[in-house]
Amino acid sequence: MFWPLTAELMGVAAKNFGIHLEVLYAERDHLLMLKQAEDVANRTNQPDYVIMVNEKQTAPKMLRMFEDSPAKILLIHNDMTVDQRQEIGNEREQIENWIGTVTTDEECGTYKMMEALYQQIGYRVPQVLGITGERGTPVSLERAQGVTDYIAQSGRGKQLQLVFSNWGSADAEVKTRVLLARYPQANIIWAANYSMALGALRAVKALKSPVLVGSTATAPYSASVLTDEGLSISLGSHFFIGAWAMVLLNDYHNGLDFAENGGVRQKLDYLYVINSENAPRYYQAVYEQAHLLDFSIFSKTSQTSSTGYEFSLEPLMGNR
Amino acid sequence: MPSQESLTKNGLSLHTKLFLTIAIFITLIVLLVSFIVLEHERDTRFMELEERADRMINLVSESVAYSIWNVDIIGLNEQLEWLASDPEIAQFTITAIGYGKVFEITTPLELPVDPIIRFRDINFTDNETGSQKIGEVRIVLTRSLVEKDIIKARKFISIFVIVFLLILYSITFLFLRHMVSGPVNRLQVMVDKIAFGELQIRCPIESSDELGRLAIRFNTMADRLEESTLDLHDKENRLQFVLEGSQLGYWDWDIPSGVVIRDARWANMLGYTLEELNLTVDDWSDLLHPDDKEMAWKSINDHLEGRTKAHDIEYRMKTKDGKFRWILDQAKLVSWDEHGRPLRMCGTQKDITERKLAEKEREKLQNRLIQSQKMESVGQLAGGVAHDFNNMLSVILGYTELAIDQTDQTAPLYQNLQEIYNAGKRSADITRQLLAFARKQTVVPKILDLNTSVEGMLKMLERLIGEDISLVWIPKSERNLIKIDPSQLDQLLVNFCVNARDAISGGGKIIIETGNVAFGEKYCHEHPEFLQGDYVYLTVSDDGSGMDEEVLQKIFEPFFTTKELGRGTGLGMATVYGIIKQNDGFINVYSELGLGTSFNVYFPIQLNDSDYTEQKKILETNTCGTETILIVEDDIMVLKLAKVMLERLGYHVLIANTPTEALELVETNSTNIHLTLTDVVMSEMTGRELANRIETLCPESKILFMSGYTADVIAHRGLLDDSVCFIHKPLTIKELSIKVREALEQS
Repeated sequence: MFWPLTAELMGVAAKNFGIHLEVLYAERDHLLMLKQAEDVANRTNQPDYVIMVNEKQTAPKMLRMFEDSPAKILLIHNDMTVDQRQEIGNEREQIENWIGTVTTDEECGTYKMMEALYQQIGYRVPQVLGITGERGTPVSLERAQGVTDYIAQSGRGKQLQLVFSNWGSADAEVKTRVLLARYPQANIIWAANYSMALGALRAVKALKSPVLVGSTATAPYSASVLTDEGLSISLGSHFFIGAWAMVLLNDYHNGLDFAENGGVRQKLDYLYVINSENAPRYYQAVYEQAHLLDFSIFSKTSQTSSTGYEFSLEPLMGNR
Repeated sequence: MPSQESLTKNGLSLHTKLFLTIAIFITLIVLLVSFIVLEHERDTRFMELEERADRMINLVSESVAYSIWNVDIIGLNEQLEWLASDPEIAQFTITAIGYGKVFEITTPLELPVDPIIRFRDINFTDNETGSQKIGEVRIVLTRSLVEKDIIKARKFISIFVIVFLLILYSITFLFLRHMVSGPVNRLQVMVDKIAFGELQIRCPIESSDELGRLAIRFNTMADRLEESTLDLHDKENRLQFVLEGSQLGYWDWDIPSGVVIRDARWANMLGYTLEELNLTVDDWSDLLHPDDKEMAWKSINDHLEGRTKAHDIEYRMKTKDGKFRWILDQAKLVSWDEHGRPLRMCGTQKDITERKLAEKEREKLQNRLIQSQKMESVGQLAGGVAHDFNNMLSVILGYTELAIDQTDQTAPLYQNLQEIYNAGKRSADITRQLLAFARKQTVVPKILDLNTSVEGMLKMLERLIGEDISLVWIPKSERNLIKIDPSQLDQLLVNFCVNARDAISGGGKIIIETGNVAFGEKYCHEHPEFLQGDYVYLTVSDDGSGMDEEVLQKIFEPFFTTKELGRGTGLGMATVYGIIKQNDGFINVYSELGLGTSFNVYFPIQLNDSDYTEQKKILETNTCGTETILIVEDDIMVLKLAKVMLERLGYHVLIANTPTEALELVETNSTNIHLTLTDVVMSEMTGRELANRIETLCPESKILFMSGYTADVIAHRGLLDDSVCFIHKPLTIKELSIKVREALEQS
């Protein structure tokens, strides 16, 4: 559901800016993705801009395909790894038409998530258990780092243990059972994605443990989960990354290079903390009335600020 | 106690026994070592397995601690995935506190017997919380794989051991057979050869070990055995040679049991083999001649009872072919029991049949010799008388013959002269018979055809035997020439026929038969008086009264006669005997009282018939002549008579009364003397010496000897030889004419 929502919001943004958007779905099949990229690169009538994802580390190959193309490339969602960058260089260097990379600032997201959980725990001493993603995935480390930063900065409580999981629900459930047995004093569990959060939630329910469960991501139905199933805090709005990219390309196309407003590598702090109170509003704005969203409010063409882009859902949702 | 044969047949060879001992020992050692090795291996493997279990549980408990701490179940499963393929793990369980089993390996089979089980807590040390138990690990290892390996190893070792043992056994067996049985077998072969008489065989010394020393001992033993055997063999040979040279067979009588051991020579004397005779004294007794049995047992019993010093007796025993042989049996007792009872008697037997026969023959010959000597004495007596008497008769008959020729047959004197002549002739016949018996008859043997001569006499003989007796003539001989004075043959036939006629009373039959026969060595050996050669026989048989043994013994004695006084002179068969002996012949007489008598006379066959042909030629030629003949005779009457006879035959005659006179006549006589007629026995010199002198003076002159002595006597004195001419006295004109012509015609 992530990429359809992403594409939908990109379509909304494209419409806002009058951009013709063509979306090709590879269904996370990297081979198909390479084939699609090759086809596009070999088109006689090539697009002006290509937004691609470093799915399964295929971005360098795709970039090479478009190396001689007049199209400008923007990489979103997953950044290049250090090794890839050593190989292919950075934006606008070896591959000149790779104009930039747009990713989510996960640390800030989890920082805000922990902040919300701490608020919910109240006077009790926070005893935190963390379940992040795979050890080798940068995002899982970034999300864990955000948690660590907040706990350190808050000066309260501690993270009893952080474990790595495979992003799956079942593993998270097991880990939760074990960790709760090991640390009966725990009162907060956070998970690095929505599936793991649901697994942890099942374990908590099974153990009838009074533990708060937070998630660093959410889903279309998470609002109800948050209310009905007892998920305490969830970070939402990841799928806005494509729409933010459309804003940056629009500005770039219109001569306002985003490199001058935050650099070629844009790490965007836009994640939105969802709790039981704001969940209905968020659901309505994002899922039910997304076509009413106006992304042009974030374009530099309509602003005179020379600072970086400040993407956030609050301005989008307005007073709804 | 096993027999030697069973030991030989069923006994295991030395190398087999050694091999079996070593094989059993090696097998036990190898099995024991194999068992110890396998048990040690088993214990070692189990120990290793337990150590492995310890190491494994330590390793796992430490290695999975972090995963469990991180609740990395997937990672933990991936981490321990390799354990699933470990066949020694029967169960492997990791339990995380708060969750339960996070990892489990369970074999579908039941838990093994006597498993290796290890438990261990999984602890994790955190900087903040310190060490805490986060789980458990439980390992159950099965020993079955080790057991299977041990079973496999046992099988492998078993196969290896079997192969190893087989190779080792083969090598050991071959080695033992080569090193032990080889020398032992060679030793055995040597001993076998020695046992079977090859005493010169020696065993090679192949080594300096016990077998080598044993071979040396065997060789030493063989040396001594060979030496003693040779010595024994020499002694035995000597004894055998003595027995064989003595033609003795021995016997050894075990008196209590009656068993008699004898040698082959003993049995062979009687024509038996040893196997054909029982080894008992009764067997000996049964073979004794019935007439000798009592005597033989008496001799034995006398010796057994101590009455004689030895058993020494001659008796007859029955041979296998039913005949009896004379045996000399000599023996002595050689052993007695403590009570002095005889136990053993040993002795020899010798076949003395030939000696016995020789003794009998010698006795017979002795009798014959006595008889012969008696007859020789009589003959010498008769011969001596007859010689002088014969000279007288020669003169009487010669002059009577001349007187008859000069007298008219019608004159009374003629008849008287004729009677004188006849009486002289009969006297001459008696004289001739006496001389014939004494073999001093002057004979002139000639080669004549026996059948022809017999046929010429048949008519005369028929008249002699009369009409009642038939004379049968059966000439069978093919080679009929014999050398005999024809008158002697006449005498033989006349005497045989006259005796036969006198033995036949009434009618009867006389058979005269001739034929050829050859006497071989065997016949002459059995009849010593015969000589080997080819003979013509003359048999005169009759079916008359025959003669008893007593008559037969005396039949050839002179003047012995069974005839009534006046009918026989007793000189007839004596004359026959003398004639036959004089002509190198033999005579046999067979007679059965009441059945008849058969005289068999044998004369040597004359193969050269040239003399016979010459004689016939001379007889057919003219007997007169005109040549000059010198007569030398110391008896003047005979000299004159001979002169008259030769002059009547037409010869010119010179006479000499002594040899000296004769030689003078030869020297002085101008005419050629063609023939000298000389007496043989003269006082000055013999006729032979005279003849030699005359031959010197007158080589062409022929010589004719005359004598009243037999030719044997003359020849014995060296006077005559076969080539000279001879005429016996008394002389007759007819005979003189023939002999003179024969001498003159001689080349």
